[in-house]
Amino acid sequence: MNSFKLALKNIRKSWSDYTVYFLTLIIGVAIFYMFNSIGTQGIMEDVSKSGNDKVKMLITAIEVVSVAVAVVLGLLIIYANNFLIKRRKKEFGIYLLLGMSKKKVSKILVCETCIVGAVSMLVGLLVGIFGSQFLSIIVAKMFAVDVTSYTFSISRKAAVITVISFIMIFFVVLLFNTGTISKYKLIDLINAEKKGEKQIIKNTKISIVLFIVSMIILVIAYIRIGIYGNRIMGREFAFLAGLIVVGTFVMFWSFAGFFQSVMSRNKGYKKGLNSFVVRQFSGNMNTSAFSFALISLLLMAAICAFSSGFSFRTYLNKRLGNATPVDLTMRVWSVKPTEYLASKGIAVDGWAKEYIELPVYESNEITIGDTVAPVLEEAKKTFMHANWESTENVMRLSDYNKIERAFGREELKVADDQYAVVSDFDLLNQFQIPSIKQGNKFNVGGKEYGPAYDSVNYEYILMSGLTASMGTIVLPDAAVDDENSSFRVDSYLLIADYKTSDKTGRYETDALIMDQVGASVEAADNGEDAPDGINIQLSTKNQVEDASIGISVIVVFLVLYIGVVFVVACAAIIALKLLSDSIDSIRKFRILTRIGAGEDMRKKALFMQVLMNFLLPLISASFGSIFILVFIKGLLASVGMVSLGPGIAVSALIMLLIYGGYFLTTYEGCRKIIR
Amino acid sequence: MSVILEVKNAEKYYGNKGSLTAALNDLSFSVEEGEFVGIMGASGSGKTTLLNCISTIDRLSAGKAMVGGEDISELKGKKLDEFRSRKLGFIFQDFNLLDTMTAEENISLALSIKGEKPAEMEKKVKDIAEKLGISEVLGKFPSEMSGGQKQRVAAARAVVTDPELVLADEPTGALDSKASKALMESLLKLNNELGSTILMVTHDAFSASYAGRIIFIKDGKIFTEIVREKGEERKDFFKRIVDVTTVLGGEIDELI
Repeated sequence: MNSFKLALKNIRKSWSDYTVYFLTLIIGVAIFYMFNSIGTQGIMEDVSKSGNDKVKMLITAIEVVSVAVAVVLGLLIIYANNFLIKRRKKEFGIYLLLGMSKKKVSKILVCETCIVGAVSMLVGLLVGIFGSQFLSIIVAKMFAVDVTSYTFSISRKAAVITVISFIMIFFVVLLFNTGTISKYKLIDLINAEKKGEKQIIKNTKISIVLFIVSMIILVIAYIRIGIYGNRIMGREFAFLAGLIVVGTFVMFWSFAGFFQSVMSRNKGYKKGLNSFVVRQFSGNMNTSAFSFALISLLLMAAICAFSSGFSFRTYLNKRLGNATPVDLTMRVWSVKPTEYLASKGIAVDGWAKEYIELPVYESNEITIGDTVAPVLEEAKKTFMHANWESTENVMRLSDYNKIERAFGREELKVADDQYAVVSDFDLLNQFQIPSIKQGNKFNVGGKEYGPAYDSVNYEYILMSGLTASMGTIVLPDAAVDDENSSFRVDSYLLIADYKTSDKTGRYETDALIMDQVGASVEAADNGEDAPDGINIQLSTKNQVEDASIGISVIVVFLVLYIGVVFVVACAAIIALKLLSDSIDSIRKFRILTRIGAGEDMRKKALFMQVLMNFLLPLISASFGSIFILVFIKGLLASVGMVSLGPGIAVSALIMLLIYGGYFLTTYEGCRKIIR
Repeated sequence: MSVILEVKNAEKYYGNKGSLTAALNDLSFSVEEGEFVGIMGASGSGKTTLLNCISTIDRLSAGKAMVGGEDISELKGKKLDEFRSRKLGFIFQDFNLLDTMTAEENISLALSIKGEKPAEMEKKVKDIAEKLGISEVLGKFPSEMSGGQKQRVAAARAVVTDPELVLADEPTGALDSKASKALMESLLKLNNELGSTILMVTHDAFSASYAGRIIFIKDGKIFTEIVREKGEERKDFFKRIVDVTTVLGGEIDELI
């Protein structure tokens, strides 16, 4: 029989052992393909066509994350493969005993790895291709994108990346495998089954003390983050994160001892097979505390990423809802927009139903530094290269209130000796807000102006979706109109609604305008001077919407990507560990049978064992996640986000599917082995 | 005295239609309450098959095996489990202790499977441990015990449930001579003081000499049976056993 046939036979024979391995490989390949194909996915294509740099950047981000994911999956596959080899040590031992050369045994293994790799890659790719269609429909629904133009698509680029990455991973696995066989001694291979795991006995008292200490550390760290999180500075944050990591490791290290001593004091301990289950579980926790701690931390990261990522999506959609009240906003320097557009042959009257044109002023008397005067020193330290001497934008109150009306917002009320600050630029707001709170005043044309509001008015002037628009000081009309004032016109704003009101119509008008001014807009985006010397800023409703959808789609994708990979990795490691342990358990369960433990009893014991192994890291991770999510909620609330509920629901569903699936597969696999 | 175990015309075949091998061939014997019976035979004589069939691990092809008046070939499912946990106790060559549990837990597990109350369990475990001289290792794990201690813990687990029949499969097979002696003395003590009925399979004449009666099996049939007479020294009984094993080994047949 040649190696290939023998390998094929082996796989068929040990199919049940391979289930989890295959499952993990297939999911791995499928996820890898699905996320790498995002760029060519139907709706993403539209979004990336709109040419937004941020979307392009985020697609690159997914590619970068993919490298990290490939490494994680690679490690997982090597780990899984090691378990498979371990499980079959005796089989290889017998081959060697029968006189087969190590080379030949390695060859069989190479064949097996190749077959498994090829099959799982093929199946994974198929699952990935169909999954990605499904994914794009879901995402399209999620973001209310029109799916009528949807077509079935296969990303060649993603497929090639997937195949190359996994061939590389399998090549490493091959090296490991051949190395493993030549490393082992025959006696160890033959006796592999008899070798029970070493009993690690830890001092119970030390375990109990350490467990309690680690719990206290964790609770303090979590409460600090969850309840007082908003007062934490960068360095303390790192410290708390370190505390959580260390606390989790110590907790898992000492858990077995603590659990054992608590349970053995319980009356139910000596009922049925309870003592056996508890001992098995704490034995397992003792030998693999490190992996379980790691799993728990990864799960926590996944839960938090899922929950907050999805909530962030809800928030983005909401913010987007009032980010585009008009069809076009434009700012032109040195000439009036209407004249500028007319000179380009696209007079406003031709396409706009309504429009307003407003001047923006500047004066050497109001610099950006003046608006943050009380905290200027601090601001200078934070942004050393900023030009605090540059003039601030100023608008007349009546002009600004026209914008408020056009955007459907409440009008500002500013008295004769007052000013208001309008900005959604958080970096600057962090200095402007305290300045206003300290009653910062400035002198213009010999008159002093004080703040009309007790904070910055968090509003935008130019539509920009998720990025900040310009900050502006709003002054009473008289202050600017005064003949002797130092104000001069800096630029003009144009706010317009198109004659067409549907999305397709808007795209047409957008195209009409962009054909003429596209080069200038692009130059401004890149921080260059316009080719015709007239600098402009322009954004349309469709552009902003597409870009925002693109950004939030990618946020959701990234979160899903990382989260799913983490959860799969965690669940697979637990599953493989349990399955490989079940070889050892065969003997134990045989003993139980002989001393009269019935099938129901044994099944229940096995179920409990598998359940506890899956549940403990999940409980630990959920516990931490609650506090971290409270913190994230606080963080997001400050930018206007409300509920984490939907995000948590989605993450619970995903966890249930993946984690629960692995749990059931493992239980079935263990039962088959033990029966 | 009542009969605890009765094997009647037991037959066990292995193989398929083409070639049948009889491991047990019309074998009959019985064991009475409180007896200590040894079963001896060369490798392949069928002694392990017999033990497996009595312990319900395997099934007879034909014939009957009755334990306490119950036909074990008719037991199924829950009744079979109950039968194993209440009526039988096992001692194996390789101890078969659960290595993640302490000696005390190993012993009491047999009781908890049987459904005993925790309060009574503790006392029973303590008593049996004292009898077998393993009180000081109760809190230890199997990996911390010597072979002899492990086997005595296994013996304690086998008898703590007060079974009608204790089945021992080569209990001294993995022990050195000193530990073997200690174990056999423990088994004898159990037999004498607690009245445990013991059926032991062995091919070690020394271990067998502790039994009250030895059944020799050859090719699936009873070859002969010897009984230790009242007042007979164990040394003399041992000699008689060795004599029979010599004959059993086949040399005599070949001479004739």
